[in-house]
Amino acid sequence: MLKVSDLNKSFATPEGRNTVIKGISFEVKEGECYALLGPSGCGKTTTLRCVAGLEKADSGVITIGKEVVSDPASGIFVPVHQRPIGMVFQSYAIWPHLDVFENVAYPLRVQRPRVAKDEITARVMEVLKLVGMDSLAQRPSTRLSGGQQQRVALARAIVRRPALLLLDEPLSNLDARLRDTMRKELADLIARIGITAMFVTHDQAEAFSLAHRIAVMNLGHIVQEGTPRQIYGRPNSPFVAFFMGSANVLAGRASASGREVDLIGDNRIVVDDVLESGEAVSVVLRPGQLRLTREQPRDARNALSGQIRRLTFQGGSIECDVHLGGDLAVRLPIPSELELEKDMPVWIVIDSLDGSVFREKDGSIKGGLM
Amino acid sequence: MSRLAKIDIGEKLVPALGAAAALYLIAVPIIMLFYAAFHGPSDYLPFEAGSKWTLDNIRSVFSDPILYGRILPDTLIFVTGTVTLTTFLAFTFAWLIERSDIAGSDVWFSLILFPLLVPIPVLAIAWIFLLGPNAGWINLAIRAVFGMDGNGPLNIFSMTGLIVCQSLASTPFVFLLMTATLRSMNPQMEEASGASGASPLTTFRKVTLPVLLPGILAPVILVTLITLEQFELPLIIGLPARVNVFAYRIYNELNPASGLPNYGGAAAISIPFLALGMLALAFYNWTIRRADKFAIVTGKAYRQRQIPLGRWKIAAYALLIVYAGLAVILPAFVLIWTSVLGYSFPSLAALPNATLSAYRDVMGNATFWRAVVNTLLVAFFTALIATTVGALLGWIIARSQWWGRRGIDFISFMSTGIPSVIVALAVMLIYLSVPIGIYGTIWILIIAASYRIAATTRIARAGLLQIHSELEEASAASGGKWLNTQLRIVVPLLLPALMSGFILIFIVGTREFTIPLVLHSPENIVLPVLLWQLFQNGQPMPSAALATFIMAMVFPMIFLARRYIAPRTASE
Repeated sequence: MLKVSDLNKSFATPEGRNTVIKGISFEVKEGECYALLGPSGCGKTTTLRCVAGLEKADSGVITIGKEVVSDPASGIFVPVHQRPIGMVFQSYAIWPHLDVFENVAYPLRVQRPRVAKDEITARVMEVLKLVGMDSLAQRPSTRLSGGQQQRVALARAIVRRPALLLLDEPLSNLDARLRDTMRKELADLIARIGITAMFVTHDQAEAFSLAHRIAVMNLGHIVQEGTPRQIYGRPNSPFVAFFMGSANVLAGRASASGREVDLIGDNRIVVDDVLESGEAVSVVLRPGQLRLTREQPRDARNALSGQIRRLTFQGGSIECDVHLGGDLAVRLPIPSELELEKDMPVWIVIDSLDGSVFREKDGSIKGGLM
Repeated sequence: MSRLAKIDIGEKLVPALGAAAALYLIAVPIIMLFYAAFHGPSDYLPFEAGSKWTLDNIRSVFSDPILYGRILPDTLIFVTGTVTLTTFLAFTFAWLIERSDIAGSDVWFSLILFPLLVPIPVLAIAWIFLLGPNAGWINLAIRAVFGMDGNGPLNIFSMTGLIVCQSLASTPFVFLLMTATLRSMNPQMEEASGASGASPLTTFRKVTLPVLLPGILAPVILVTLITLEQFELPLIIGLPARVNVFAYRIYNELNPASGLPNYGGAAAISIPFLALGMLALAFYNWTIRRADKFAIVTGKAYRQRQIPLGRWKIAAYALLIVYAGLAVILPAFVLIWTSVLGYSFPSLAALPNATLSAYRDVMGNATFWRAVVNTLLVAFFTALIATTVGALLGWIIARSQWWGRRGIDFISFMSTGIPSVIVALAVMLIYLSVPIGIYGTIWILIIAASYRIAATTRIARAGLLQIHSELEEASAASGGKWLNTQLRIVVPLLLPALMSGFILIFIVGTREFTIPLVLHSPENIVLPVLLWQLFQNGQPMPSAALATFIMAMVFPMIFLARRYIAPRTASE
């Protein structure tokens, strides 16, 4: 449905050219919801704007449906208003001089050949109903709450039945509570109308709950692509692992045998692979991989000794910071029934090291692919 | 120690002084004006013995056929013409500089701003040198090129000439406001239209213009108001052209060709004029509210997409060059040339005769130095008073829960709609009636000109609204008294805003002509009035020298204006 191959884009800045997209390629299948996920400045929004036709790419081919809409090498650039898209903007961009109905009707009013008046009314009311705004059709758009603006923006984007729906950080302008509700509504709606959609976000929870597939971007590259489960379960770099949520990073060096990672102090981690002796290794551990015990476990393959540095009561659980020596520490939630105190010696058991060990060639946390 | 809540005296007293000052500067003159309009005989001062309540002034003013036959139509044509031309120029320039890919936008910005800083008599004299029907340079050049005889073809002393000159002078201010409007538009509004399938032209028509409309309309109404009160050009260019507008008529009642000043008549004719101003002001207020409502994401300046001009580029440059030529470059050149070579058409042959004698004459005169000092003093103290009072009013409006703060807001805002010639008249009536010894000094000019507190109030209020009130509360919670909090926390944080307000009023103060002319005495003469006197005495070389001096004096202010005023209008 949407195919992007070898896309490049740079901007002129006072300090010289700033390359924000460095040859990225991906494909979005019919009916799929695809997310570009990454930190700010990774090039995700620029990619979306190139697909929309709001930016001109330097090189690379963008195809929507069967039509090539951008290919600088062949001099092809279809302007934004001739692309079969609908778009929800980060600020929603609801026009203040038009009421809710007219905002949504706009794409049909500017369509040529003209759409009949009755049909416009019917279709606008249909999508307003879909987003639950049909009772507010006549409301001036200057009197809408954030969530209502979001619904109107969405209705406006789908009213002309575009082949591709684009959403730029669709939930970032809402407060946390509303964001949760709107995320579920948006997921339902996209599923119900079965539209092909692509969206951009920096919030992994948003990407996980909305997208069928995710491309994680960093520094102008796609560093990993896959289903939410794949990305969370098998990150391919410390960057992705770290970006996926509250992970602990332990840096160390491979032992002489290459079968262990020596950390600072007496702690070491036995690994499954054979490492090159002495090479730098990052072990990225999510809280779910860790257990805390007070006695030294006998049969555990990997157990790290440490000392409790801080306990933070959080209602159902306690957030526990454990100091492992040097500048190494891990943070994990523990059940609030456990009776622990500050400075108590404890053990951290690592049950599974699946996909947690990264070698130097996998890149650093910040660097992605270097 | 009393357990009763102790009232912090400073918190009540200091802002109250500000409110009292505002009343004194604005409300008292207006009351005086109405009092005088209903007192007669008309050549008596309102409190003079023998003066009593009467409707004679009103009756004679409104039964005068000249009012309906000349003043109203002339004013109407003058205002309509000027507003139309100014709006066209200002919007076009603002759009070119903010949204198009025109080169050198920074230089154009400074050039367009320049006439805003120069006192209008300076520009008026330059335009007369350029466009005078007999010996104006441009006319001489046109006649030479086309082999014409006699006068003209262009005549500055006509309604058209007056409108063109006034538009050239008014454009910078409107331009400044329009650039702010253009910058405040969220570009996603236009992008959303494109993503809905609308072509760029449809987008401009159905989204850009309607969204910007209130933001464009507000400066248009403001310039209507400003044109209505214009006095300088109607006096210098309009009088020889026999154009008779309101502002000039009031001045004429006070300085009749023969006979005594007609105080009552001047006051009476001011009233409909004032009412018209208030009407425009109410309309302005309405559009501003609408513009505020339209800016869904407010107070933000966006980086705008630049639109390629294509083949329109030549026309754009041509328009900019014509404007810069007529409003900045040619006026500066004709004044400098005339100041050293006399009023003659420029030629290389004349160059060796250049002399600085006119400058020596002007600067050798004690009146000149008195005028320089007076101008700076008036500008400085006016700015100081207007900024201080404005800051206090801004505090009352933004922070206090005082009863009557809406009234204070209204009075401050109203000052925008009061023509300076009316203020000058009212202040004249007050200090002729209440002899406290400031009549004829610079202090009467300062008191009269300090009524312009609308801008400083707004700037201070906007600045205060950006300072979180918790910053003040934190000072109070640390044991700071109100006055201490204001001086140590609020004033330092507000300083950039106060500074821009001060510079704005200082610039307005150096350009002041109307008030000093109406309240003129040999002692309180200021530079623009001195220039007008020299010019009227038929001394082109010294007037050109003085005009050049004034230009050189205000030139550095363009940097202050760009640094402090332009960004602030953008953020409001």
